[in-house]
Amino acid sequence: MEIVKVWSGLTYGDAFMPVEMQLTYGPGLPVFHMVGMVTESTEEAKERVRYALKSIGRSMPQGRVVVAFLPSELTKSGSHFDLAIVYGFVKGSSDRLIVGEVALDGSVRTTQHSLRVIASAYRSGWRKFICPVLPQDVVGVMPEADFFMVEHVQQLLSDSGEKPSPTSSSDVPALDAFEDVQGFGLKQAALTAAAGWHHLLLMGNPGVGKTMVAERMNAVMPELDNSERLDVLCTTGTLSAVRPYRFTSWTSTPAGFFGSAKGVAGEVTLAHDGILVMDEFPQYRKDILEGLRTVMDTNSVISSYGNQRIVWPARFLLVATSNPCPCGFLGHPKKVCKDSPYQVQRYLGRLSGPVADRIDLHYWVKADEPDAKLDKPRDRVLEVWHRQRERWQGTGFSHAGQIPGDRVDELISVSPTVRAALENAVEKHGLSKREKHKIIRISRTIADLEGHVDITVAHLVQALSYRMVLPWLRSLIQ
Amino acid sequence: MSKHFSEDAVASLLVKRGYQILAQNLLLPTGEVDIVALRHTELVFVEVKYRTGFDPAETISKKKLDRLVSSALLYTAGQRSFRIDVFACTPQGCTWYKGVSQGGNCQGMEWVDLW
Repeated sequence: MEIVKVWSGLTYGDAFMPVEMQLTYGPGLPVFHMVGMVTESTEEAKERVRYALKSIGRSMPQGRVVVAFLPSELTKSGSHFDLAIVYGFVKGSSDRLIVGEVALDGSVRTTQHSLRVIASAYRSGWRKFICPVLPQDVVGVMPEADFFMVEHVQQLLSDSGEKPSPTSSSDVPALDAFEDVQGFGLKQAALTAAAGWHHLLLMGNPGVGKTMVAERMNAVMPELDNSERLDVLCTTGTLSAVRPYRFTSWTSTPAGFFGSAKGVAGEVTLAHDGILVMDEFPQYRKDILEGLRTVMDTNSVISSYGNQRIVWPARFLLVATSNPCPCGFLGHPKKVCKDSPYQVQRYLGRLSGPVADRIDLHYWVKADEPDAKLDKPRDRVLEVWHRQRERWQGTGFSHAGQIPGDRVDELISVSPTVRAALENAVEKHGLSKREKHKIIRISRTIADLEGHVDITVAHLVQALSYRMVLPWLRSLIQ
Repeated sequence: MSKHFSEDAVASLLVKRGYQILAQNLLLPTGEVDIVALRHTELVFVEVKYRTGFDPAETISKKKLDRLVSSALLYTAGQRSFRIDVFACTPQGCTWYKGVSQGGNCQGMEWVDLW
């Protein structure tokens, strides 16, 4: 009995798992069996394949058809196995990776999942593919790949026929202009966060534009480079020149936020290499805030479910916004806060938890801040990125904000005068060692933004001001 | 055209192949058997399906096969071995499934020109 072998694959988090598919048939009443932990979405391939074959005047082999998905112990889901099955029936075995969804009329389509499979397969070394027609920018991030693109299953039969060319790239979405942000200090804080990959907490009374800044941060982030784009394609199945940007709500559930082991990426993963905005930060569920701690330390999420364990990448820039107290008017120049000191203390307490400890920059957003124009913010950020990447080459860190506390003293040099000033401030405000490390990290980025080789006292003072928001709010309720 | 035209056609084909027809449209408490045939010592229970438009073999369910087996056991009183064949007929011709097991596997398939 003849056995046809074709290859397809599935993704595990952003990792790739090749799937060998063996097709065979034997005598018997007609059935179409799929074995190997096949879920609904894959099993439905039966009908799609049957009619796609009909569209090119072929029919299923008569008798008992069996398609085995190996290794059979892993759950297979997704509709991207269709094309491999069709190929096996009309052409026979192949050692190319075949990915694509087939419609009843025989047209071959891309799905988000099939793009993820192709990208992760490319990353793990596969080079030859049979796939649907891909957009130009997707082809662009995989320069070494040899794509045999098909628009219709008919093209599998005729090798000589004209090959379809990649479709045009998707348009670059227009970003909200960063210049809309009012307030020079605010712009500078946002720029510092983006330049040094410092997580940012924006605090302020309701309606001062905290969320608005968070929404516009992406406009100053440099574009993704080719390998980052491949990473984004592996995790989300979508490709865009601008960085991922996820605006999340405090009503999120842990599964939606961190992703599930059933193969659905969470917000932290979708924000990989981009910005994760957490609006109304203290309102988030406790399990999310606690869970975020490990995610930020390891830059990845591990989700386990039954016998499945998936590791998702999650390296994001966190931008959190928060009111200063439950009613929101603490620190307001005119209005009076109606909350009891106990309520405020409890509210602010959530901001000094384990996650908030990992946020370097705090900024108090005011409504009436003087404004000034910043020149070419995006270029300046990119320049800092280059400079910091070069400085810490070989250490595994590319941004100041990513350096853990125990390596700050080793990797960031501080002149004796600045160190004396820092010790002075530590003495005066009673700052902890961790706070000190944060201040050094921020001053390094500020110095880089201004093009200085060494950190000066002025940079230190500015960095210190980014750590004074919470102590100031606490002093208001004494 | 007779109501049982496809069954008649199958019966005459079987006669041509050297089978002896023992019964046609045999009614038993467990259901109807289209044809009971005999060649040498081999007893064959035949189910004939005629459909236009799609493969009639797909309409043979597990339940139908179970019924056929119990009919055969009833007919032979469990004393003889037997075989179950399915003829899936379309206007173009017919597929002969020989020795179908209850699970749907068979020993051989043959394309026969019935008309």
